[in-house]
Amino acid sequence: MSQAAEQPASRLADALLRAPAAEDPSDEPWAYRGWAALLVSLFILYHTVALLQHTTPAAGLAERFNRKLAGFLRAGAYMRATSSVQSWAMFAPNPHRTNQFLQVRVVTQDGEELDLLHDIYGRRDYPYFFYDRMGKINRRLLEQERYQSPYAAWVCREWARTHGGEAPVRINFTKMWTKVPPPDKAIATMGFDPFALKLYKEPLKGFDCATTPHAQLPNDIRARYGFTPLPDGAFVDIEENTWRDRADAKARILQRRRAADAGRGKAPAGKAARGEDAAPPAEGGAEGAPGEGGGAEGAPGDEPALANEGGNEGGGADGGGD
Amino acid sequence: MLAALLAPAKAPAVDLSAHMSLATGALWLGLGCAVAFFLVRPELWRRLWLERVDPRPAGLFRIVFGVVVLWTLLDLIPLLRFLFTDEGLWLPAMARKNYGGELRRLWDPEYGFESWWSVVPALWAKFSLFHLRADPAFVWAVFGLTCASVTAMILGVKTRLSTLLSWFLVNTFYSYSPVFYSGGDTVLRVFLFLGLLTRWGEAYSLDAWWRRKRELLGGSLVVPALRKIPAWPLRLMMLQLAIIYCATGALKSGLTWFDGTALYYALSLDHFYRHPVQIQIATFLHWIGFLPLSTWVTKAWETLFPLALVGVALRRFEREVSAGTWPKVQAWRRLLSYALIAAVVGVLAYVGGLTAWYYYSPGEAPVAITRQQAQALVVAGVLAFPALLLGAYSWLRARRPRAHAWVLRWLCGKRLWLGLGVVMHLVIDVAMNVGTFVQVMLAVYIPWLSASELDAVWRTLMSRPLGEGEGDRPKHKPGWKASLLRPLDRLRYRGPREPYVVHHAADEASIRRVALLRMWDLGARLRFETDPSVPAGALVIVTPDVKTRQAGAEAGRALVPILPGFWWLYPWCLAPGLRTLAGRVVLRTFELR
Repeated sequence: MSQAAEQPASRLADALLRAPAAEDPSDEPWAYRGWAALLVSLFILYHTVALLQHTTPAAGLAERFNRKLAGFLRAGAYMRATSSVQSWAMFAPNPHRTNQFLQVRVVTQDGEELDLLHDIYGRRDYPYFFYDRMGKINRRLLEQERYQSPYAAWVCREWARTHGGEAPVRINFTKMWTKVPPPDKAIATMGFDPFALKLYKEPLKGFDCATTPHAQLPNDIRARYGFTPLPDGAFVDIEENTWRDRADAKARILQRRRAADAGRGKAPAGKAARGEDAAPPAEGGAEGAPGEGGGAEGAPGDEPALANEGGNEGGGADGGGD
Repeated sequence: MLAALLAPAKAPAVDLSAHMSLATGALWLGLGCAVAFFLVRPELWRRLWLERVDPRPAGLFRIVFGVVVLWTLLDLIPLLRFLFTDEGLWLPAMARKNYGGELRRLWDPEYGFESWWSVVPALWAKFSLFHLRADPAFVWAVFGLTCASVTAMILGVKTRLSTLLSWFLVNTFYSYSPVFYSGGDTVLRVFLFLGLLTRWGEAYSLDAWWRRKRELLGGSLVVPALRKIPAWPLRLMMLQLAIIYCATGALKSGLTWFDGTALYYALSLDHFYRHPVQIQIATFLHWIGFLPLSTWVTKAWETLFPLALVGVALRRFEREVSAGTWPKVQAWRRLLSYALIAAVVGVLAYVGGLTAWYYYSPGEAPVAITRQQAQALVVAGVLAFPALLLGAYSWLRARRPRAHAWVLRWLCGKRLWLGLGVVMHLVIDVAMNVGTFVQVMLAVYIPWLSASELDAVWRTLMSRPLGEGEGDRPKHKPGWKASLLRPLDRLRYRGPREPYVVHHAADEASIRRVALLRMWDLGARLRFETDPSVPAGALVIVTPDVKTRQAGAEAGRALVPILPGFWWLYPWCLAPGLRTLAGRVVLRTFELR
């Protein structure tokens, strides 16, 4: 029988139904004591200093301090690991004063050039209720050109996926923009029609679907849709340089060294004395074969480096955006 | 760091090498002094971070923030294939190479991880499941799992686990590639990590409900209390918000923010406005000076937002001094801590002065002063500013108590800094489409609320406006002034509504079951009466509007409007077929009939 059952019901009702809500019975004001307090304090200190370092521009006389502090704290790695990378340059240093759009056109196997209507210029429905990330991505392609090649590659693949596996020839980009008139000009007419503004155009570099990396619909996706596989060598892949690639490269180097050593043993003494074949090939692609660069971290020459591991992840970091 | 902020955004290349080492050393000294301050005054550190607080603001934040996270995820559905699957923008190899961090070295598509422990560094760097596999079926499955875990987090089911899972899975989407990020996504990611550190499942959660229900039905003699939680993750959230605003305000260094045209341009951009007609309105508002003024207010408000943190600290100090609980420390510790703060200010003055010397160009300045004079001015300013602030505050505190109270309540008060923020973000949402940025920014204001403020919010929501002349509400003479004041008076002067009376049987089990209702009664609308005519375990309600006794499902349904935890059932109550079902859900929750 519970303790309460022995009490009159009215006293229980008073306690449970009318008394003020109970407070946490623990009268300990602090959340931690001893080692736990120390550890939590160290973490708070670390997080706070790393956050301040990460969000303060490394410029002027603070540049070296900022850099050394970041190195000491490994702040970049911590921010990435916790997904706390941030940049707060919203509408900074100025909001954009131009509306920018990227027109995307595809050149088909028939030689026809079609506008794929990926830009929002004159195409958005108003009132604008549902957020359109594609509009933002379209603008970002202009602000950060490194995205243009992967985007063109996707357009090639997507065209192939939706046209029986047949890739187009080329993707062409045109930068389009209108200038927001300064306030004094707008005041003279009390506003302006954004679609009556002069539209400027500038053709940008295009991308061939046959040679741009990853612009070909790969065989596993072709199989998903029942398309015939690509001819051998048609898919332009990228170099990944995984642990296995590096291990293979090292194994090949070792094999060559052994072969060279064995050859030296069989070779005439004169040749060995002259030192031919004696020097091992330098690591890092000295053999000329791509992908053999043991430990080489860089992007291959024909692949634009998109590495975005550092700070440029914060929304709006791309200059005056949202 | 001050030097970094003082240095112009696009400063001309200046050779700083002569003083770089000295400035670096000085800044290390400043950082050391700031850390040493808390070593000398550990009681302040404890007050700042290590105390326990009421879990309700954190609980409400979990729900509101979780809903925004879920909303943002659902918003991604139309782009899921394009952004995350191998039929979209990236083939996984390209995404892995560009954004996979250490994974690109540690994992091979054919052979997997190099070793079992390679998983650890791969997870430590940015990690996305889609870097390993990104076929549409897999991506959709992960998306479904993510939505489920975020929903569990919102409901507070296994909250620590569901928060961890939500953080990991949400970041699987964000870590795949940053091409689609907007400002709101960054806020969301950053605060989700801080949520991971918070024990935000201790209130307004099913976890807390099940624990308290078990204790109450198991024989507790009081309604079990909510467990207090460590304050530091909530304080980190407040610091994070202050950094967001201060950084974005400081970085708005372009001409348009000074000549007052920034908001005109922002509101006229095709990518944001909700309707092109807004351009005419923006032009008009600029013409009458409203937008230039708003531009300057926005920049000042953002840059000075950390004053809100100062206000929180000052109010706490004053409250504890009044209550006599502010810790007394030995004179040497107090003096040493002042010296350390002075040293930090001295370092900032020194580096600030040097920065002025390097970057000030006499030819471009409005007033003709030399570099040395500019340096001296900055040093004097940085040294004098805190001294003046401290002096002015002390003087107000001693001589002008009303002005002092105004500074605490308004100038450094949450009502100014958060209130302005709410207005600003609501205006942004009406005028511009920036995704869920506004919603997430408003959600992250919740950790700033105290439990008593939250209580006041619930009571206000459940209250009624007093009639003219009733209670404290003044009676105005009829006229335009009265018409203008009426809505404000209705908001300001409130009184409690009539209670809902719960009739219950006198047995212990019935008392315990109806006592469960108190845990959901956030606006204190319930009154309880023992009634021998009510069968054991039954619920009978008398509502103020109906006045007749309602029992069973009808009584359960009657409770929905006053118990916020059941507001999600409200639409059901409007549908004739579902009204009874909604009532039964309420009854089942409390094991009543």
